[in-house]
Amino acid sequence: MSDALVQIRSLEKTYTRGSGRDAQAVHVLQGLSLQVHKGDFVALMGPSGSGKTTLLNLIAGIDRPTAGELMVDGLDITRLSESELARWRASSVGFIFQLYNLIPVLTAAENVELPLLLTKLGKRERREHVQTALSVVGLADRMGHYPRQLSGGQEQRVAIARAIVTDPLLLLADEPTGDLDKASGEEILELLSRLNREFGKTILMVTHDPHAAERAKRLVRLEKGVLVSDDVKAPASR
Amino acid sequence: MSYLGFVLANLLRNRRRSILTLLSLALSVFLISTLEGLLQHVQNSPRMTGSERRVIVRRRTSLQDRLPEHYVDKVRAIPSVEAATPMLWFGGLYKNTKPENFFGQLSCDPDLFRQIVPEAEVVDPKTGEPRPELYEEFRKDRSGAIAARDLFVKFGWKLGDKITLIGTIYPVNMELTLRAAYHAKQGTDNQTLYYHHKYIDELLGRPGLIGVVSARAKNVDDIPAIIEQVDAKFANSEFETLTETERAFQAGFVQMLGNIEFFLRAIATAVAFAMLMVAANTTAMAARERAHEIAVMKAIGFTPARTLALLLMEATLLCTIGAAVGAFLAWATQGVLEAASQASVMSFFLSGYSLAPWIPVAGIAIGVLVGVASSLGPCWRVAQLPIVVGLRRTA
Ligand SMILES: Nc1ncnc2c1ncn2[C@@H]1O[C@H](COP(=O)(O)OP(=O)(O)OP(=O)(O)O)[C@@H](O)[C@H]1O
Ligand SMILES: [Mg+2]
Repeated sequence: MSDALVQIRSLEKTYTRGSGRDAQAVHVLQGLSLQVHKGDFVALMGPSGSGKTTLLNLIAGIDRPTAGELMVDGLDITRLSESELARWRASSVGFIFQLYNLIPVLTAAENVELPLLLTKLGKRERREHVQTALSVVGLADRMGHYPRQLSGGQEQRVAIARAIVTDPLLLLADEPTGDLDKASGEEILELLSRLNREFGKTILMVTHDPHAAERAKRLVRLEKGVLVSDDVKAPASR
Repeated sequence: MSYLGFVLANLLRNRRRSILTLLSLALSVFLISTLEGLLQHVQNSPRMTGSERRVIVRRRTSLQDRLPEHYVDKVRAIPSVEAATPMLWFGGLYKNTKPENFFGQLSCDPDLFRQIVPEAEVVDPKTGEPRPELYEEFRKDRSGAIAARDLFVKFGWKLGDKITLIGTIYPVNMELTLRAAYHAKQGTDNQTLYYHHKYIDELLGRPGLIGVVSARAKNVDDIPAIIEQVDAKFANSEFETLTETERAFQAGFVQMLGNIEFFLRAIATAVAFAMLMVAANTTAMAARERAHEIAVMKAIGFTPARTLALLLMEATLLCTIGAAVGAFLAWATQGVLEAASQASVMSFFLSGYSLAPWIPVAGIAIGVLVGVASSLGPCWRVAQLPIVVGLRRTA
């Protein structure tokens, strides 16, 4: 037994494109193996179409592998039913999207509160959690703002607050700075490092930006569905 | 934020669409409720069913032309005729010329009235309880009148009240004392006042003329023979007659009723169908547009079932509010509808129109059921969509 938080062995994912006679199998992941340890901050890089998002989605339990082993915190999530998987996601995973994906009709605070509706927390506790999460991302003063009243960087920070509010084991971010200008992107990266450093969050982040990857403790490269390199950097690097 | 708050926020997202949907649902439920109310009213209205044994003898030339009084005796003399009474339409004004104060005013032979219109039960105007002894009061009083209980209620009359009918066809006014009330569950209308034929004849200076003879056959099967015999009896006389069943006499009216029923049902069905499509379309649109967002919610941890529940809550809330507004409108406008109809020919149909409470309640139920049932499909499809597929849909 290892202390790996994420334990992936010979993972395969095949999509079928088209239907009927023209159906074509697309082998996106082809026997991929990867371990992510608790408290790690992993950057996942690779050319477009190499399967980064697919891998992240599988780990997040929002998609299912075709074959292979996928354990998170000792739990084989491939065996969970649809609703068990949903409950597991709610409690164990925080997902950060490239395009923030906030609900436009909800305020920043309500967006952050959304995952808490799935918990047993009362109204008051939910409020406290929301306040804490928004303070962590530095937006305690924007609780009542709607997404359209926020800048891209602020929206992404609200999205991060939403991802951490349930205090999940694992933070998964798919190109979190991909749609932001340099300064905002920098803020987001700093925030993620802080979450990793100070709060001990395990983070797996997909990025195209080598500069962003610098922030991570470990860099994994994916090409055509297989890992091609894995560098653990000196812990001193910031 | 609660689930309800979330649902409300979603409803307010596209305000114009929500309001339009709400209004179309409201209109549909209003129409369905009102149409059903009208149908119920028309169906419960006096039908010609109790009258199949009656014939009306009138002057062949025109309904406005009178017949000699002794025709009554001649009709009565036919063996298969059980009873016959003269009738004269007074057509007077009560109080003023307002159409809502209009009601039927027919003379009759007080000794025979009950025999000819047995379905008219003599009742207490206050309680509606049977009080057959009142009929005697009417029979004894030459200037007495028996009127439909509905008229007593409408005008606030009491037994013993004196009323004046101002002549329009005849240059006299009639002073009548209300002696009894009747109520007919079927067969005859509840919008008429009857008075002694002798009284009007006296007022007019005994011209000995009547409007029509109303006769009741001993047996339904005798009716064709009676019609033939009466008209043959008076053929080639100065006053030729045209005899019809009471049913035929009012055939136009009856036919109209039939058409109206069909018509109303057709409209109500079409409206319910339109409602279904409107609700289904709105939900389908809303759900499809939100496929991406719903995928995000599911990625966060909402189960497909919970997602479906939220979407259905939204549809239910919208449909319930819309249906309630429509039901309220139907309830609130029943008086308006009746009042508006008073000034037109529709007053005959709509007098006393009121919505039974179950109708708007059923209207709400139909609105909610139809709305939710039609949203079920689109909501289900979106809630079941795999997350990765939903995430790839552009918002
Ligand atoms: N739901 C799907 N159905 C069919 N094919 C898919 C699906 N999702 C991904 N693919 C295909 O799988 C391959 C890998 O996609 P993926 O999104 O994982 O790449 P990526 O590494 O994240 O690329 P990018 O850097 O552009 O985001 C692509 O060829 C893509 O077209
Ligand atoms: Mg990607």
